[in-house]
Amino acid sequence: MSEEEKREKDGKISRREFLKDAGFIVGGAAIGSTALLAACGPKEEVITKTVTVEVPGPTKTVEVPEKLTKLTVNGETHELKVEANWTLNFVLREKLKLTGTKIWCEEGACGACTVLMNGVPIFSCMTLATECEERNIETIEGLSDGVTLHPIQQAFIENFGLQCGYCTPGIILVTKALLSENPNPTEKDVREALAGNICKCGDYKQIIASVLAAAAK
Amino acid sequence: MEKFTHIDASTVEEAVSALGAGKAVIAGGTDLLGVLKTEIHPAYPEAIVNIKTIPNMGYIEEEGGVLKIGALATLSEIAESSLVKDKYAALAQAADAVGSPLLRNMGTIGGNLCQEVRCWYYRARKNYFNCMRKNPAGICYALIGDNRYHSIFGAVGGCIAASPSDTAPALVALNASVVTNKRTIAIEDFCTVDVAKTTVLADDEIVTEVQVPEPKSGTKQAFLKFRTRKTIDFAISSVATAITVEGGTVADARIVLGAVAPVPYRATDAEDALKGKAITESVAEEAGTAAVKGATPYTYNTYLVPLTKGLVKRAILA
Repeated sequence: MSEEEKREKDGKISRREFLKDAGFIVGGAAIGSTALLAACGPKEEVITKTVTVEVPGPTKTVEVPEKLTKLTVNGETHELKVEANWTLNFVLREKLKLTGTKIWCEEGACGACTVLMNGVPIFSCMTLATECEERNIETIEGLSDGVTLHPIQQAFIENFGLQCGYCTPGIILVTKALLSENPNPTEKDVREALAGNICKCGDYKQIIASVLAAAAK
Repeated sequence: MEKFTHIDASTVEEAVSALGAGKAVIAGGTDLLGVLKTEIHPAYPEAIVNIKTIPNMGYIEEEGGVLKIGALATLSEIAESSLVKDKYAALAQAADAVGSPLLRNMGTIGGNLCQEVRCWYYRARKNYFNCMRKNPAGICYALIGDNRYHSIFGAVGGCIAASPSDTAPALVALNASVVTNKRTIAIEDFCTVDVAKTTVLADDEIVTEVQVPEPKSGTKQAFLKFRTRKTIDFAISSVATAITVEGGTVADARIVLGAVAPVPYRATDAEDALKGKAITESVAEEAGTAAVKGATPYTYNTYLVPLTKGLVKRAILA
C-alpha cells in the first residue's frame, strides 16, 4: 500500500512495478497482451486484465474487468480505482481522507475502525473495499453537518464520554445503530452493544453514561 | 496484504468453477482477512472468490420440521432469530457467544464452521513456525511448547490444535447436517480428521446450507462457553447439550464439547451416564466426570479437565 502511494507521489512507474501490475500470472500463464495495452492507457479508465484461472478441465481464460468502484459514503458517491486487497478502512482514510475512522488492531478485535454499513456496525479493517459497492457506508464525519453536533456527540461531550478520543468515533457509531433499533436501551443493552469496542483509557463508566444520556435526549 | 485477483460470484456454480487449489472463499471475511494480513501460510492465494454476491443465501426458515439456514446468514441474524431462539436454543446461544457484536454482524454460519484453527503456533505472523499443518515435514510446536489452549482429547495426525468453532458443537448436539454444492454431510463427519484442513470440503466445494432437524418435544438445550474476556475471546472450553426428558427421566442426550479437541467432541460416556436417570445435581456431577474420563491433557492444559467437567455439569443443570 505504501508502495502504491510512493508511486503516485513520484508520478512514474518503474519497469519492475509495471510488469508486476500488468498481469496477474496465474498457474504459469503468460501476460495477456490486452493487459499490457490497457496498462498504458489513462489511469482512471476502465481497463480489462486477462487472467488465466485454473479450473478443473481445460484451462480457460477469463476477462476480469478492473472497473471503478462506486462507494457511497455519508450519502456522497465516490468513484475511484480500488485494488482488490484494499480494505475499506484504507480507502476511507488514505484515499477519501476521512480520517475520523481510526485503525488500530487491524484484526477485528478493538472496534476503532467501526463504520456503519447499511446501518449495521462493522469493522472497516476486515472489509474489502471492492465488496462495498451498492452499500451505504456511514462514518463519523456523516453525523454532524459541520456546525451543529449530533445529539449523541453532544451527549458524549456533556458526560465526559471520552479521554483520548481514539475509540470514540467507533463507539458513537455503534451507539447510533443501537439507538435507531432500541431508543430506550437498558445499561445491559448498552454494555452488550459496545462489547466489541475497546477503550484503552478505561472510560467505560462515562461512555455508558453518555449513551444513556443520548438515549434520553 | 499482498495482491490477489478478486472474483464476485453471482451463483454457487460460478463460485465453485472459479475455485480450486490456491484459491480462497470470502464471505464475512473476518477469518480470511486475518489470515491474509498476518501471512500465516507459506503461499498467498492467487484469487479470492466472493460469495456474498450470491443472492438469497442468507435465509433462516423452517420447512417440514427442518430448520434451514443459508450459509451466508450472519451470526447476529441467527442469534436474534425468534425461530432459532424458540426451538434451537443451543444454536442461538452459540451464535450469540461468538466474538463481539461487530464480528457477529459480519461473520456467517458457513464461515464459523470452516474457520481455521486458532493455535498460536499455526497463527504466528509470517509463518514463523512452519508447523505440520502447513508443512508435511514439520512438527507440532504446541506439543512441546505452550499448549494451554490446546486439545485434551488427543491429536489429529500429530497436531493438537483445538476446534475453534462455537456453532459446530451446538450443531452436533442438535444432530445437524451441512449441505454443500456436492453433497449433504452429517456435521460430525464434516469436521475433518485430516491434519491440514478443518473440514472435509474439497477445493471446489462450498457450504450452501445448514439443516437442523426439529428437536423432540421435551428437549432441553444449552450452550455454555468459558473464555477469558466474555466480550470477544474464542472459547477455552465450551459445551452444547440437547437432553430429551420423557416421564421425568432422560430418554436421549447429546453432549458435545468444543475447543478442547481437534473436532467437536461427543462425550458419549456423559450421555450414557444420564440416560434413564432423572437429572439431579449428583447425576450431573457424574456425567461431568464421565465427559472428561478419556482426557489426556498435556503439560499446560491439565486445568481444562476440571474446567470442562464443571462446564458440563452446569450445562446439564441449566
